[in-house]
Amino acid sequence: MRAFHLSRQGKTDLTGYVFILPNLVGMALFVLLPLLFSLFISFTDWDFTRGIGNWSFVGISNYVEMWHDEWFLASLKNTCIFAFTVVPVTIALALVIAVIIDKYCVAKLPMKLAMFLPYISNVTAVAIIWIMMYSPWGPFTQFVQLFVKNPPQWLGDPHWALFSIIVMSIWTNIGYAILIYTSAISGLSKELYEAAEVDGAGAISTFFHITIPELAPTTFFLVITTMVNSFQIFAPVQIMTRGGPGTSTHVLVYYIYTAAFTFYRMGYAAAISWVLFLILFVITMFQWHGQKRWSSYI
Amino acid sequence: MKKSMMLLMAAVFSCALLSAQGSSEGQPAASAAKKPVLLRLWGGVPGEYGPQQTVDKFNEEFKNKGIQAEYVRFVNDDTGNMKLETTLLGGGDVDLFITYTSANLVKRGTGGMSLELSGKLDEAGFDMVKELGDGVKPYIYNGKVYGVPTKMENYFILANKNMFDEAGIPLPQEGWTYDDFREIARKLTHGEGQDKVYGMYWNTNMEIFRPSYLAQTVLGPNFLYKEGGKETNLDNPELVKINQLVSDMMNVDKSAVSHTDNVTQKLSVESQFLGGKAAMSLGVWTIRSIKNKEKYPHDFVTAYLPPPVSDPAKAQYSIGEGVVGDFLCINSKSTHIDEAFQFLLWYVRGGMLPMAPYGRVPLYTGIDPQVKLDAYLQNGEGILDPPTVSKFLENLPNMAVSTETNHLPEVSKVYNDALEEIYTGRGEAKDVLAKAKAKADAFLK
Repeated sequence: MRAFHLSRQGKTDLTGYVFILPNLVGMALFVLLPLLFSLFISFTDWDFTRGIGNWSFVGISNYVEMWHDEWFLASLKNTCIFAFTVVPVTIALALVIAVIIDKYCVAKLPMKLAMFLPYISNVTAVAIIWIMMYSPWGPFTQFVQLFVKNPPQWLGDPHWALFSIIVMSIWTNIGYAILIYTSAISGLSKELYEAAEVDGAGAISTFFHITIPELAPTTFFLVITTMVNSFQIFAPVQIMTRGGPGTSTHVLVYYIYTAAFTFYRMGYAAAISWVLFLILFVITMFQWHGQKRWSSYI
Repeated sequence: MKKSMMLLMAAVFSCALLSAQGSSEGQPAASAAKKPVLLRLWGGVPGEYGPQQTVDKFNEEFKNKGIQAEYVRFVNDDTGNMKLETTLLGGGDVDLFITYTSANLVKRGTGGMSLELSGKLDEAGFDMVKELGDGVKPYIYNGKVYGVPTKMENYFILANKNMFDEAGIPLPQEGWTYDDFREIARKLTHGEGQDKVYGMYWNTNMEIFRPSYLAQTVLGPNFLYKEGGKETNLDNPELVKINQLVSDMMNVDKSAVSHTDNVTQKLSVESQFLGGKAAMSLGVWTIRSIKNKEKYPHDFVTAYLPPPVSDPAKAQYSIGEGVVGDFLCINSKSTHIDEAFQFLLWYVRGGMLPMAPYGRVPLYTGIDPQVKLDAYLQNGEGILDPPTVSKFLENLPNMAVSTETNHLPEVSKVYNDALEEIYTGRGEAKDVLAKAKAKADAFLK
C-alpha cells in the first residue's frame, strides 16, 4: 500500500484551507445554504408552518404574480423614492458639512462624534424618539409650526409619512458619511490646494474643481453602501408606521416580512427577496460602470 | 516536519472550534433522572398578572410528584407570535403554550405545531363540552382538539361611571342602539386641546378590527365571509354602518379620539380611559391595568356596558369573537408530553383561578360562579361597579364564533387597510368597503 503523499505546495495549500475551514463551514451553513434554499423555495408555494418538505412547485408563478400585486408595486415604488432621495441628499449634505468641519471648525473631533452618534444609536430608540418628535406636541412639529400654521400629522398623513421617515433616515445616516468624508479630506494632497490658491481659485471653485473630483472614489463607495442600505430599510417602518397609513410607507423588506410572517407565504417572500437582490445587483453594476467614466483620471 | 506540525495544529484547532458548539448541548442523561421534569409554559400575559401565581401554585402542589413548571412570557403581537412559532418549529424548549386567536389555533394545529389532544382527553375522561360549556364547541374541529379553551371574557364596553353620573346620564342597558351610543358619546365630550375629554376611545392603534365585532350581533358567525367562504362580506350594510359610525364619531362629532392621534401618539386604553381622557372605551382585558393603581393611578369607578346594537329587532347574536379563549396547547415536539398533559388538566380544572383577578376567568363549570365572581372582583373595591361587572361572567345566549379562515391573513389585511382609510376620513365606509371587497375576493378565487 502506498502512503498518501502530498507535495510541498500541496501541504502549504492544505494548511491554508484547514485554517479557513471553520469560517468556510460557517459561511456554507449560514449564508450559502440559506441563499440556495431561498432560491429553491421561491419556486414553491411553501408555508413554513407546515414544515420542511411540504411544498409543491409552482414554477415562476411567484415571480409573475408580484407584478399584479398592489402591495408589492406600492412597496417597490416607495423603496425607490426612499433610496433615490436619501442617498443623494445624505451624501450632498455630508460632503458640505465635512468640508465645513474640516476647514472652519475648531473642535473637529467632538463635532464629528456628535454627528456620528445617531448612526451608532439603537435604531429602535431612534425611531421612538422620532415618533415623539413628530407628535403634534413634539419639537419637530412645534418648529414647523413657526412657519406653517397647520403642520401635517407627519406619520399619520399618507402624503407625509414616507417623507417623515426619509428625514429621520438622513439624520441617522449622515454621521457615517461625514466621518468617511472628513477622513478622506484630511488625506487629500495639500499641494493641489496650494497650487489652486496661487492660481487665484476661490473657496467655491476649489470645492467644485478639486474637492469633489478628488473625493470621487469616496463618493462612489458611499453611494454604493448607502444605496444598498436604503433599499433594505425595514426597522423604522416596522416601528413607526407598520407600512401605513394605507400603503404609503410600505417598503420592499417590510413587504417581504409581511408576506412571510403574516401571510405565511415563504415562497412568495423568497421570490420578492430575489427580485430585490436583482435590483440591487443591477444598480451596483450600473454605478460600477458609471464610476469608471466620472473618475477615470484617478 | 515543520509543515506537518502546522497541518496537525490547524486540524486540531478546527476540530476544537467545530466541536465546541456541539459539546455545550449534550448534558449527561444520568443526572437528569433525579431532577424533576421542568415544563416550560409560554404565554402572552405578563407573569405578574396571574401566570406566575398559577405556576407557583402548581409547583407547590406537584413538588413531590416530580414535575415543576416555569412561565415564559412572549409579547402577544405579530412579532411575538412569530417568535413562538419559530421556536416551536425549531424544536425549542417549549412544552405548553397559549394561543390567543382561533385562526392561529387552526394554523398551529394543522401545521403540526400543537399536539392533537382529543385522544388524550378521552383517555383522561375529560369531556370538554360538559366540563367547559357549550361555548367550546366551535373550537372542536371535526372531532380534533388543537388546544383547550380555558377562559371566558364577554365583549363589554368600559365606562367611567363617575363621568356618567356627573353628566346625569344613566348607565345604558342591553338593547341600546348605535344612535344612543353616538348621542351619549357626544354628551360626554368636553374641553379643548390637551385637556379635552372624549366620549369614546376606540383602541384603533392596537385593535383596529375590534369595533367591527359589534356587527356580529346582527351578522352572526363568519361575519367577514358570505356563506361557503368563497366570497367576502366586507360591503355588508352592517359593516358599513358600524365603520361609518366610528368614522363619524372621530371625524364629524369629534367625540372619539381620532385614528391619526391614536397612531401617531401610540395611545392606549390605559393612557386614555384610565388617564381620564375618555369616558368609554373597548377592551375589558385592561382589568389588570384597572387594578394596578400604582402604575395607573385613578379613583373613578369602572362600569361595564353591554355592546350597543344597530337595530334591537335584528340583533339576535351575542358577540363570540375572543369570548372563549386562551387555548392551552401542547408542543407536539415536547419531550415531556405526559407531564405537560397533567399540567393541562390541572390548569383547566381550576388550577388557573389565580388568573381570574386579572381578567382570565376560568371556563371550568366545576367552580362555583360566585367563587369566580369574587376572584374577578378581588382588589377592585371602590374602582369596579359590581352590578354591571357581574354580568361579565354570565353565559350569553346564541354566541357567534367565526370558523372560516379562507385566506384570512390577506382578507384581514385588506379589511384593516380599508378601516384605516375610513377612520382617517379619507373615504365613505360604503365606497371604501366595496373596493376592499373586490380586492379581498380576488384572493379567494
